[in-house]
Amino acid sequence: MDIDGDGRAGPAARAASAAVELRCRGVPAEPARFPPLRRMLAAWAECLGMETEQVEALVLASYEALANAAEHAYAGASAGDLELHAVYMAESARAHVTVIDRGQWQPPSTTGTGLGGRGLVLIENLAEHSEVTTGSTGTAVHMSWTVPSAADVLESAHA
Amino acid sequence: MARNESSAAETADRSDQQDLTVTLEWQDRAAVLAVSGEIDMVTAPRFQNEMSAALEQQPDKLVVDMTQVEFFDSAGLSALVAAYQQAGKHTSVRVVATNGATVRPLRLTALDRKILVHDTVDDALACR
Repeated sequence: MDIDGDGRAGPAARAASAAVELRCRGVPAEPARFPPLRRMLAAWAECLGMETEQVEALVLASYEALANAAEHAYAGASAGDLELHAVYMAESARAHVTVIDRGQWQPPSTTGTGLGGRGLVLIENLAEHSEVTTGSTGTAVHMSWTVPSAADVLESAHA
Repeated sequence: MARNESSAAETADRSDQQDLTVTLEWQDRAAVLAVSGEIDMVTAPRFQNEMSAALEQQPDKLVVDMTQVEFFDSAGLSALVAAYQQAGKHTSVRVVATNGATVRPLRLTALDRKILVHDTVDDALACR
């Protein structure tokens, strides 16, 4: 298959054959743990063929979601843990990142979801789609992005 | 025993020193703070302390050169806001930022309307 026209498979084709899912469970919700997660997410997004700007957006938005989880954990009596899940869905050509914290749930207050003002602004603006779900077991921040190169490949494959 | 304690302290120290270098230089009455590395939840307090220490010397202008910063989060934005508030009327705070990792968060949170962002340190120093 000649996708790029130069005899080499494009980034999207590489992504399709590479491992496209990241899942980290039971990560202590401590800020010192986050830089390696950030670097792992960046490598994952680059591997999917995302452009630098989109990789940066995904990494910062995800980091802000992790920061939010750390705030929940610190607000509770015991340090909670969190789950980071990143998955590429080939059928929709979208990269999804979800951060779930199972820390002490904070009842709704003036601060709403507990997300700091600027953190939430960043998540909402950096993610193509974002959603914050708060329940009795914790908070889930879900974000997604279209991977443009993959979308192009899917389109031409369907044409 | 003593050895174990010292190695634990070193490890803690290293995580605090994680990927952030701050250098302060003076050009007449202007303080130029060159920052490189990553500003996040872990390093933002140090970033804020360095700005605060520079501001305590009451410069006419504080130029925060962020051209070598590769990651900049909401904790970093809050640190800049704190510096801006500390500066008050005495010191004009300017930021130098050219890459997406720093310009984007400043723009998305509209902080670039409160703190002027320049392309070069020279521009920031020259601009009133």
